Amino acid sequence: MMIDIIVVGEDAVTREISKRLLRHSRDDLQVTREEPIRGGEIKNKILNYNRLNLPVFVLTDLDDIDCPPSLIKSWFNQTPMNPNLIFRVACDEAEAWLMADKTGFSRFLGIKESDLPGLKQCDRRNPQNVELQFKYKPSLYLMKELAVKSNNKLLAEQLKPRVYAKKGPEYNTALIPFIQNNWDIDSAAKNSYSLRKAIKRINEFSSYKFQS
Amino acid sequence: MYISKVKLDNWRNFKSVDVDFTHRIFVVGPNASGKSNLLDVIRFLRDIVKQAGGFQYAVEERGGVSKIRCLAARRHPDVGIEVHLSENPAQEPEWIYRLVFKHSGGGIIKNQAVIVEEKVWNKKQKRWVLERNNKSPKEDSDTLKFTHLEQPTSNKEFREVYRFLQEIQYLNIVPQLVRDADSYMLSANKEDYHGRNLLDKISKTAKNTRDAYIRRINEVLKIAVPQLEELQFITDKKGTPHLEAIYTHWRARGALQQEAQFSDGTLRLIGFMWALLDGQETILLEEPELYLHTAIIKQLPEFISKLQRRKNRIRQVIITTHSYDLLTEGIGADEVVLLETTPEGTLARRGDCVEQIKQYLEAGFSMAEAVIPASAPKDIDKLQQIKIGD
Repeated sequence: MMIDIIVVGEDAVTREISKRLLRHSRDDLQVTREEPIRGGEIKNKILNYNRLNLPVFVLTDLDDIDCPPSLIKSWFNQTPMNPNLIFRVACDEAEAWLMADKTGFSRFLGIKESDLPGLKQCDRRNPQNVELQFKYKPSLYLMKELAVKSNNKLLAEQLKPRVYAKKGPEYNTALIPFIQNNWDIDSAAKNSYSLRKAIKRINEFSSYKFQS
Repeated sequence: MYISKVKLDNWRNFKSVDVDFTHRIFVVGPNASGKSNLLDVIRFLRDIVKQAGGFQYAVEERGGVSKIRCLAARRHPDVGIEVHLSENPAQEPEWIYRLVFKHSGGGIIKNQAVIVEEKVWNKKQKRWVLERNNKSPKEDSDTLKFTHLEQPTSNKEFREVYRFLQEIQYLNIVPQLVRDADSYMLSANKEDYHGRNLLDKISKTAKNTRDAYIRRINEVLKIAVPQLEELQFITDKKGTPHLEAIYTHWRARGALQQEAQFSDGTLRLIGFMWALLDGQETILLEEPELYLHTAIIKQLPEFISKLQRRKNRIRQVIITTHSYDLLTEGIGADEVVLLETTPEGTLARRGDCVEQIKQYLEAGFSMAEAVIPASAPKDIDKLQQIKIGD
């Protein structure tokens, strides 16, 4: 039986990543709604989603917070997480998961694989738990340092932000085809512990509690 | 009275609809889901009863039965419309009007609509005061071309329904048309869908009433469009009606402007304020948010609610909208009608009858948050992937 699921993410790229992940991992989930219509609401609305008691997949960026547990603590306070809510935090941003597919992403953007940042360990006891190490926000790094090196003039123009713009003028248009068609999730997962955990959580998810 | 229920069979993109209305209704749905078509049912009934209107006219205006009938209709080709008119939501409807019709003709015979059934229920008399159908020996192919509703000699017993439908106002102001003074001359006797003869309507209103309405519109404009002052109604030498206002700027006296120079937003604001002030019965508003600033849109629902409640009566307002800002906190789930497209035609359900919407509202989401994502097209993100040009 198909399970209806709601995808929540701050922007179109994040939601597309969520949808691709859900499709990649399961064939019994169907996305019925995508939210929010306006950005900047997830943090304030997270307890509403938690109360909703419908299957919901939320993907958010870690950004400046030091680790996912402290983000969860600050967002949820003491409220227990609804088993119908899949709440995942990307380190440091959903875009980092795309770049974690180093071969695929560098080929797509038309840059050298060595242009992408190296790996950092995020867990001393488990050296295989790594993430890409960015100097600053991965999406900004993508637009400001990688896009300009691209040998694809169109992509570079689409991605490079104009003065004071937060994103390139056709940011979504540029990245969504990669997410849909080229992103090798399995190879990205090797370079991103937070992505591996997200996939694991999706695979384990069951909505039996919802139906009871 | 207000329209408390609409039941449809094979009307445009609705194969089957049965939806209850409250005094204020917001119709929400994706583009081309049938928001305007839902309002069009009510306009259709008004077209039947209006001067120089009639059943055949109403069908022809819409391109004939084949254009009206739902594409999802298969075995049952008849188009059915039923409206309930109520005084009190807690009680049975005062009136039920039901009309079923189909297509006849083709080849060398003129294409026409023929009535299959026409019925009117009255609460006071507790009976159907009119019951016609095409099987009856009293009817023939000519009588079935006309509704009893449109004929004053045969609608005596339900004149109230006739009057009610005549008073319905539909407004979708297209600023470009209000501005175009020539179109006023052209459209003087035509149906006013787009506010073309808004000015004409204003000019035909009794002076005292008109002044009172303009005064109220001025109060609103003063806040919403502060640079526009002293809106007034005038008639020029040729007898053409105009709206005039002073546009203040750095010169001491400001500049006199007429409707041709008003902004799109100003014209729309004036237009539907007029409709709300002037309307005696149900008012249909198409996307009142168009051309208006977010800050104004947010105020509209309360504003409309206040204008509905005048002279100890509440007039019904039915609004189509796409606007996140319009669906503010004061709107109930029973005031929203959600349209959902399916291969078998569009479904229309009230917010309080949709499980998912109720769950969202119970979880603490606002009406806009619950409803707008549900009415977004399923693959909206694919819009980004369309190749334009090369």
